Amino acid sequence: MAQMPFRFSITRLDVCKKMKGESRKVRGRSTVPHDDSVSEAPSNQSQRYDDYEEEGFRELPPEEQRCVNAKLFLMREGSEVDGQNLYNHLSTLLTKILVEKSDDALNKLEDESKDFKREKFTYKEPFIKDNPGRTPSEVLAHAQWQMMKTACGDPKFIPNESFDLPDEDEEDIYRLIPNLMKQALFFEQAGVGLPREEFIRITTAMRELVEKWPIETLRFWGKILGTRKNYYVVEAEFKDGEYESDLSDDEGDEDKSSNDKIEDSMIFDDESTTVTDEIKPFYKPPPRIPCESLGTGLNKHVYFVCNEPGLPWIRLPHINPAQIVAARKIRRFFTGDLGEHIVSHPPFPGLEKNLLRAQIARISAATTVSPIGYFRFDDNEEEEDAEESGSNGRNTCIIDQEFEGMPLRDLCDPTGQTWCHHMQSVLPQGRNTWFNPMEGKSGEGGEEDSDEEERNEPDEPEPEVGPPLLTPVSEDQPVHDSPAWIPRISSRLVPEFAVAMLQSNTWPGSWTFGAERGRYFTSLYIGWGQKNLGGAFEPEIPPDVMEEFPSGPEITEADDPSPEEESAFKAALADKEFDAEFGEDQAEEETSDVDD
Amino acid sequence: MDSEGLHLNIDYVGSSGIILSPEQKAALQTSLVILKNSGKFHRVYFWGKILGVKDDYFIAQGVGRDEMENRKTFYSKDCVHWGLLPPATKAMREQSKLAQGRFTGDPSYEFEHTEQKKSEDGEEAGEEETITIKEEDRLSSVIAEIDEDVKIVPRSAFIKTPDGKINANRSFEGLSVSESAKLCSYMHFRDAICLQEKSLLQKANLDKAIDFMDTLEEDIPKGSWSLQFERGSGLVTLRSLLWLGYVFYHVPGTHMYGSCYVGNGEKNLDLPFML
Repeated sequence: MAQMPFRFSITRLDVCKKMKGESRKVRGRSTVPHDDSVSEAPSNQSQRYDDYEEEGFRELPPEEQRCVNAKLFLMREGSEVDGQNLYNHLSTLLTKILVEKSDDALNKLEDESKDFKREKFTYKEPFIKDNPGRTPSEVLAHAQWQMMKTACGDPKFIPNESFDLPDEDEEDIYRLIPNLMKQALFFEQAGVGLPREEFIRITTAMRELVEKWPIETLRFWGKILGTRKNYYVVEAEFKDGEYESDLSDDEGDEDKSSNDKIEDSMIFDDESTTVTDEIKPFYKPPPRIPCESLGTGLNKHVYFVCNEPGLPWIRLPHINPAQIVAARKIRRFFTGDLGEHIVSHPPFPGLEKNLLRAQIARISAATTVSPIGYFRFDDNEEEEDAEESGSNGRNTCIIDQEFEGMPLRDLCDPTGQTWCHHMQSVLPQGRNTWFNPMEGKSGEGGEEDSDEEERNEPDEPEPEVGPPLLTPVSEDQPVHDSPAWIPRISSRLVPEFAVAMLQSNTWPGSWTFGAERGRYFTSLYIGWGQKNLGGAFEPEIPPDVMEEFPSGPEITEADDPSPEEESAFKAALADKEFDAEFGEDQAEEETSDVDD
Repeated sequence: MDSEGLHLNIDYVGSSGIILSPEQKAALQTSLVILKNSGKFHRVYFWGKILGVKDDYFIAQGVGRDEMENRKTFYSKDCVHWGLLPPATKAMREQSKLAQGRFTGDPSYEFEHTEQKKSEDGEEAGEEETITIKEEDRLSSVIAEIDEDVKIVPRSAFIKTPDGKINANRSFEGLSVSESAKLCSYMHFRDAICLQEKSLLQKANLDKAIDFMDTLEEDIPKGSWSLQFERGSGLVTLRSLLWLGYVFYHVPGTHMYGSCYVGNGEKNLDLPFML
């Protein structure tokens, strides 16, 4: 208890006997600057004060103790406000009065006290807070910082500890993430791609993918620009058996039901027109071609997109052939919102995410290339498998372990003969493998004989064949007058250490590089997702207007008969009736004869 | 994009896929300085790149004090040697529209365009007129067209003095974040076309020293510009959908802005279908 007063004393103030009627030498802290007109206490008090500090705890005489208690009470802070206690208030007030030395001090006492209190009003918490809100850059930075924080782990401040590197032998899922920095280096040498910081961000963002999904291989596919936002696309292959149920099936059913509803409502809209049941519209929608089973063909790869690295990844639904066929006929920019409706002619069966998936599938099928010799067909494949893969030929290839590479000059061959496709092309039907729409109707005819017979029928559509796998890119269709692929060497100043670059002309924005004698290569797409048509885009013309009713006897208009015809008809009818009556009478007479 | 600081500023357009290899940056840094001195230009801009089949063209522009008047265009295939392009006349521009297909990469290549001219009597055998267009002329016309169609600057970056000269505004501090989100804060860097058709009432609120160019809001079709914020709100990127490959960037709050074109040199005539 005795320790407490020592904390407070800094200056000393004497209160006049006249005003307070009590002589009290107190020490206290005052917020008013020290006024020299007020006399200071003699120094002997400070000496005594120092004695106290030196001697520590000491019993005070009772009068002094009461004095100290009173002072402590005055100095006790008020319950509401900070820094405001009675002691300070009184000392400020009295100082002011003494300085002013006005005659009316007593009357003005209350007013001055109130003024002081009002001036010193502080509030703990402002009622209207200044909340500027998070700017978009803050939101994005926060998301990306979060991502980097989880990747980085806790900060380690111990300098001599060895780095926590992952073991080489360990099965680390993070090893699935491709070495994007190495790719960035090669792309940069050619003057293509994204800034290096973006590659780092994408690599860090991919960690989320390997943690959540059962991924077998992963590749950064590229960036698709949109009018409002952009898409970063990552291509992945799942482990066998991990492909989940087709996400597009549910959506497909919804679309189908809504399409039927639209058809019904269009035709049978007007209730006043009575349509007989026999008359049906001619239009038969083309047979619905099923998409390939998950894990094969176009649905072999699964794609994830995000608008900015750091934001969560969204999985794109599987592709079905109708969407690819429709995507070929329309030409649209992407907006950046996956749920955006696509209003086009012909109507696209899906939302923007389906169109995005379709374009990605088309670009991948057309532009994934590799140096010739890197992939080869599997010679060990059994004959049955080869037949089953259909008239398209082999549809899988494996890495050739004995690939020796080829010199840079060959890789940059301007004709493009040294690069080949290793992904199957998309047939006009919208699939990788031909699906016979007639098979569904006749049921599963598994025997080869029946299949051959069916193929001979004229109604059978011709099976579509695409170019076989591993064809060189020089065989691709040229665009107008320019070749489909443009090989280039990346450096002019240092050609000894340059890399070969392959640029696609059909899909401008697709780049592939080949380094290390062709053993290290990858592709990247950065662009708007549009094909180079070589000329202007020609939209599909709407089909002919359907005739409402097929012509037939019930609805063919007949002219009303003229009066002459009517009278002739009546006369003929009258004759007939007469004959009939006459015939009956005759018959009656005969029968009556018989009776008799 | 200004040649001074090119190696730093090229990062701003990197998110659109425009990057320069270190070799190109090194070559450009030296050769553009030499170009500036030899041509006695006030400033030299790296205009961009036009991709061709066999080779790409790098384009640079040198300007005098009045940036709209004296503009000279140079092209190079290797960023080291620069050649002057002939200025594009109207006749040249009309002819160049007939050439189709991509640039080949050989400046002396000649495009041929054959037109069947039916003689007035209606004879079946039509005369064939072959027009040859040199690639250099086509290049120059395409660059002039791109500049006229899509070259943009932020509002109040340039000032028109009372005697008609157009100078860069030294006290341009940049657009604020909210201003940079609006299309009307950007203007076409060319002689005004739509401005003269405005009524006096609309022109009353404009400042004659600053608003002497057309804004982007009057562009037809609407939506032919894609405005995006990168890095949150730290960078504004405008991409033209009419000439795919033209990118304009601006850092709000600072005086940094610039533009670059990297593309085929083909106008996107299908734009109305694609929006």
